[in-house]
Amino acid sequence: MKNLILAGGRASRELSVLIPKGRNKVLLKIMGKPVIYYSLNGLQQTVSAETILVYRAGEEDVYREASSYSQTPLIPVVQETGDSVHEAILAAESRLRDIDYFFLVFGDIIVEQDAFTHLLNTHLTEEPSATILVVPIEPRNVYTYGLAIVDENSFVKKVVEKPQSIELREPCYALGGLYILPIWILDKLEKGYTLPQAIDYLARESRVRAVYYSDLWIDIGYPTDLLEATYQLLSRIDQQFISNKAEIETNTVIKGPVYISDNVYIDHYVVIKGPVYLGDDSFIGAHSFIRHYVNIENRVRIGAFNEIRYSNIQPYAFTHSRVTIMDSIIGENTLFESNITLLNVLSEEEEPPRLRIHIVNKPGEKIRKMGSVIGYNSRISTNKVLKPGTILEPNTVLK
Amino acid sequence: MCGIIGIVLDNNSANINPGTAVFHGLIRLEYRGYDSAGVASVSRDKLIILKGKGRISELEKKLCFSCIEGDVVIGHTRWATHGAPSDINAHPHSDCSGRIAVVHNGVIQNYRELKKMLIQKGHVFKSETDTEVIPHLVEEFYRETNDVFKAFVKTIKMLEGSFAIALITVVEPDKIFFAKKDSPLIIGIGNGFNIIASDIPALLEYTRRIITLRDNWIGYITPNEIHIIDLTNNENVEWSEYVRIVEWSLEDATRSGYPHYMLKEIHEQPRVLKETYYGIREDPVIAETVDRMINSRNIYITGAGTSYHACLYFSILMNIIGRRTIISFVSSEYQVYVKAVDEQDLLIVVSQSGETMDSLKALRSFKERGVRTIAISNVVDSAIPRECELTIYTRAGPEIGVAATKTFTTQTLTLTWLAIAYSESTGSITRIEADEYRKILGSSSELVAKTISWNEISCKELAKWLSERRDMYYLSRSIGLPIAMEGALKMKEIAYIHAEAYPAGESKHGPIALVEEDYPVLFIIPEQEELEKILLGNIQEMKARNAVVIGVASENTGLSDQFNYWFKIPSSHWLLTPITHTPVLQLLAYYTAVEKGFDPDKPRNLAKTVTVE
Repeated sequence: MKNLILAGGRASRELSVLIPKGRNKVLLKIMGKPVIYYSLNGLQQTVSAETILVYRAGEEDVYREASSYSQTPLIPVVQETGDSVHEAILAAESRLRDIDYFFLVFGDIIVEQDAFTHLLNTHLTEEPSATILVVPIEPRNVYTYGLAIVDENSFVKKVVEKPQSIELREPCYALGGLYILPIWILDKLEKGYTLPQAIDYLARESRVRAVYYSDLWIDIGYPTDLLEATYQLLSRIDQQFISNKAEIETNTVIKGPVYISDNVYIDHYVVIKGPVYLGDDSFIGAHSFIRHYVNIENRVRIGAFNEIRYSNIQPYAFTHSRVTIMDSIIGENTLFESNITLLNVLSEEEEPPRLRIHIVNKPGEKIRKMGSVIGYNSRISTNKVLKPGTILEPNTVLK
Repeated sequence: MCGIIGIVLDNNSANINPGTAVFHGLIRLEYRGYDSAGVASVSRDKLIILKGKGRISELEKKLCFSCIEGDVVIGHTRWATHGAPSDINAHPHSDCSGRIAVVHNGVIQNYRELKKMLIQKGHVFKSETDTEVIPHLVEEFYRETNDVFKAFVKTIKMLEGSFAIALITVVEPDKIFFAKKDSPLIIGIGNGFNIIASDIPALLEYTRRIITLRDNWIGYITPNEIHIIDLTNNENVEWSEYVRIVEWSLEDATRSGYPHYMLKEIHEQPRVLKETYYGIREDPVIAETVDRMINSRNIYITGAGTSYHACLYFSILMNIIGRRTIISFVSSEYQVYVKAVDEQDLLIVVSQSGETMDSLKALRSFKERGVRTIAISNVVDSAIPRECELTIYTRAGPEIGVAATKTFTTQTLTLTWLAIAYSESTGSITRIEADEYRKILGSSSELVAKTISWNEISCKELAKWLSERRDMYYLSRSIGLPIAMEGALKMKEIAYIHAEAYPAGESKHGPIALVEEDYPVLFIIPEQEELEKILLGNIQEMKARNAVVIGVASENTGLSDQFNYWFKIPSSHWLLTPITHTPVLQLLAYYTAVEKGFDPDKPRNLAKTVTVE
């Protein structure tokens, strides 16, 4: 068996505002690590085999960063053309031909390691033609996934690609982005089958086993997915870790689980209520209030009197004083001048942008929330108020 | 489904007792069937067979499988397909000469022709099973070839259908012959021994090196040798290429990738509902039960916990479609009812395990007064079925999670079938209606699969909020009431949230006093227009007090805009309410327990089978 990780996937339009040129969504950061770290690590902990990484021409950063987390040297394969998954797999074809099965993983999936273990063990012990991970999904989101219809004995009956009808009439699960596939599926891909079509063919002709998984699983396609992944991963911090290289001034209050990395500086009178992650060399100005589920990446500088909640702030972002950020994602290298508010409460009439829905209308919560997605390299001048659900293109200067 | 296992060892090099190994393996395979079991070995040139009807642990006490002598032992645990559960029909089966023993999982489709042919040649059959043709065929061909393996290959080539077979014989006492087609079979490789079994958990105690056999592979194992031929091309199989190391723990293996047994069992419902449905269709006991019900003065039905909710559901359903009053009571309260009964009455006892002490006590005291008795149970030959005149079995398979899930839905499926059969016999519904209802029941497997896939994520999501609540109400009316009670029980027993169920109309007579802002109230809405109209008033009472209203209702409900949270159930018939709506309540309790950090499989203070009063 060989491992194959695909890291050339295109982001949705809404997510792409966060991705600088020459980079890819798999390099977006959560808790100091790129998204691809989570699948690469899970895979390599499970299967000790040669790992091939497919990335897009011009996105060499993907290979460079992934290599720094890889246990063994990655075999690079550059995808020169095409946008689809089957073209990405075919780009690695010459590296795969000498084996019987390959473990295919999408680099933009965040999933626990036991998903990999269960998939591999099921495959080795039951020896079906192929074994795929399936996950339960919110029916309102079906149109955003490839779907597997599974029979009562956990075999795949058929595979449907992103159905247009939101109300699918059959019991279905999303394709989980983890697959163990026979090498001869390449022949089908060469004939122009998409990956779901090829698996559908396999399922009809032989036995494709679905391995069900209900724990942490997020496919990073939309900004809301990145926020959900931030929430889920921060929820897993269960203690206070403060690097002895961090500097915390007196009168700072830190409550709840936090991860405070090397060379973080926290000024006087800051209040932090975990779960919160503060990346290397980040700075939190005096009197700021960092509330739960906040992920602040490396070298971010938060000015004085800021309030931040349930947000992900990518590296090198910089805020001046009196900035309020809630339910939002801030792209790399953005600059907020003072007195800026990102509103987050949707009015009754307001529809959130058509993103994948993770948490909307939780009972007990009378209001729906959605902040902004701020594209990289943007600059927002002082005294601005952004409406809920704003998506700002990269390099925008809001005067 | 059945389970098979076999071990062959070299006494000098392997420190394993083969009888114990097979016994332990059978216990692990019990989930594949458990109405009868048996073992066979070759010892001092003689074939020994021990087998009988009943559960493996009971049979072990009676026959002592683990004491069997010999270095080659095979075993079988059975779920009856051809031939009823009985001592004779239990595997292993042997030939006329008593020199060959066979265990088999699968179905031999052409066994009738083969049996006829063998009888013409003078073979004498003892059982009604399809399996018995195998030892007789091998016996027949051994006469011609004088070579066991050749005879075995010839036999396998004649079989049509699905099979995993293990065969031992006194002629070659250091071998287990095997063949596989469409039924699972795995070889476990040891030092000085080899094992063959239907599934990995059965051999994981002894080895982690395994070979998963492919269809049409046939061969034999000895203590130190494995020989496999692929029948499709008659070539030897280089089996070393297929050896895998299993890294699962035993517990992982039996949970098949699910984090808890309870979640696995919730997801097994589509399959076991289908099996129960097909099983009950063929079950002659239904007609006998209906006959006794018609000829009884009063009918009582009793159970404890979840089983009681199934009883209550049955009595409500019988009022609606059977026009017959059934008295349902909690089994520990039997003394209240027993004084009024005599031999003209009938008692139906519902118990998943068949061992529930309260229900057993009720049964015994009713029997003392001459009451006729019928059991509905999931466990063949357990105490309650043994003491009842008739038993209808559900086919949910073993349930390991303490909280009942799949056993409830299969019980309600069984009881609905019984109510339909009764109502048809007495004319309270027409034949056409009965056929229609039975057809609806046949769709339950698919509907439950949809219910689960549509709602699992929403249950997980809502559980985050529910995990911070201390109390909640489950309300419904009519046929939905027992489902509400079952949902509340699940929430109490595994998530430790104080949950109460009431008929919705009852809430304004007291319980509503507790309702305040953000109080969760869950409504079970059967798919019936009249009921929806009445329930609307109850929902509005709750909304007026700012409760959070959670609706478990059909996708076509007219009430959807009333709910703060709506679990959508695929549209079907109100008759299926316990089967279609309950999985949502199970998932909700499961994820709430997980969110609170509790182990849903092992709730505090509770045991799976309550064998004390």
